[in-house]
Amino acid sequence: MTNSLAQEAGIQPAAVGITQAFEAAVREHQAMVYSVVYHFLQDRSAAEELAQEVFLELFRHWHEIESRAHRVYWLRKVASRKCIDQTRRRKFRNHVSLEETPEPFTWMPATDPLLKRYIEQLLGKLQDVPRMIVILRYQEGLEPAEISELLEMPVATVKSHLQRSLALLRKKLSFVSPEEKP
Amino acid sequence: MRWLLFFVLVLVPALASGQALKLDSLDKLAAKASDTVKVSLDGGLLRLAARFLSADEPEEAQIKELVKQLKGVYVRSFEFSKSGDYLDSDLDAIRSQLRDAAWKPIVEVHNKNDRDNADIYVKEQGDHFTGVAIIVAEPRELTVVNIDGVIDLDGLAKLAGNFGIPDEIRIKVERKRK
Amino acid sequence: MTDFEDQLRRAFERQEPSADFADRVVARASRPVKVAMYRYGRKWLSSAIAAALIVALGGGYAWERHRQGEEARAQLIQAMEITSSKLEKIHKKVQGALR
Repeated sequence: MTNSLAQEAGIQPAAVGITQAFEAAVREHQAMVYSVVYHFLQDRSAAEELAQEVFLELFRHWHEIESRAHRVYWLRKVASRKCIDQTRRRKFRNHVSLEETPEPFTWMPATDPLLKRYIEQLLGKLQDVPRMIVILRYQEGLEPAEISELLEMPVATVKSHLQRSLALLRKKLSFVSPEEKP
Repeated sequence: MRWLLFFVLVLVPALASGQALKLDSLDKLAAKASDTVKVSLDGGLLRLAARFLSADEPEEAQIKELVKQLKGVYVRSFEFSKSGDYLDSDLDAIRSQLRDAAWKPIVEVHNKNDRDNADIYVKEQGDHFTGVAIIVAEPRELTVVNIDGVIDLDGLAKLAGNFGIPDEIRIKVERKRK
Repeated sequence: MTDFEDQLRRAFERQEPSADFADRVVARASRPVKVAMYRYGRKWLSSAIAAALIVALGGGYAWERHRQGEEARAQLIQAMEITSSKLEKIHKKVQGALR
């Protein structure tokens, strides 16, 4: 554990083992990592398993982390990569395209848990990379340039994926919200 | 003499086969565009892409089949924040290539007032299409697509179901086979 | 952000994992790793490290190739989607022109 990281965390480096600092990091960032993975995989137990792997990798690379900001960036990057790798193993591949997903039958208010669940399901129908881009944009509030650096792809590609994904999602959601109706 | 014959037999079919359009002249528009999509997949990269397509997903399986005989897939698509950010003359280099005798226009929709134009060209060799070029030029969006290689007519017709290729185009393809 | 994007933000709010998640992670991280290799001496250890490096380097190349393949696949699908959407647009233009 570096002195800089311990100092940033307000902890005296001489008095703390790596395990305690690591535990503090897990508790601080578990919601972020778990949510990225859960929204991507749409399976709670699989998400916890994969989120655990992300943190175990953090433990293995603890000495490389230079600051809290670096840690957040590192966790998002590893979580994204592991999620996309997971779909490449076809474990959570969805077989129903977004276009084939049936719409709900009645209008639901935006805060309704059913609508929230429906939106999550729609997200699950997107392909892996666009799905992760939507999660990083709307869960983590990242700008396209930040997403581009995280996923190691051109900004134009990120924007293109975002634009098309939003168009698809909007099309599926347009009739459920009264303000979208002509 | 035998060597010469060998090279002719090898080279002539290769030369006669479809050649990709040169789209580089459009790349300068990226500087003015608010959004740019640039795809250039050919040779090893196209084959690599095809290997990563899923045989379990219907659309990807169809693309995988279509791509088998393709040499390249090229897209340049630009969105602009205001009309007039690109000129008709920016397409001159593309259109001059399409004036070659090998290319035949099969759809031309031109609206001079709105600058809202669309063209589809095909390249034929015997019973096969060896190239497709699509140009859609709108006030704030410009897209050029070039697919190079032997295009399977049945495959293209099947793709219509998933990707919304209009019936008119599909019918044109089927009539061509007869 | 638009109302629609606000809707997405609310739908994708962060959630907590199970209550004992952190405890389980720390427990796994703290497990001792058994290493039994000195029986065969330093020479074996050097060879093992060299082999591991080769695998790691090869794995790095394989990862890069895999990443390239996925990016190429995404581009190919995007190209086909653009092609189909433009053809649909042309269809509408043709229909409009024929009226």
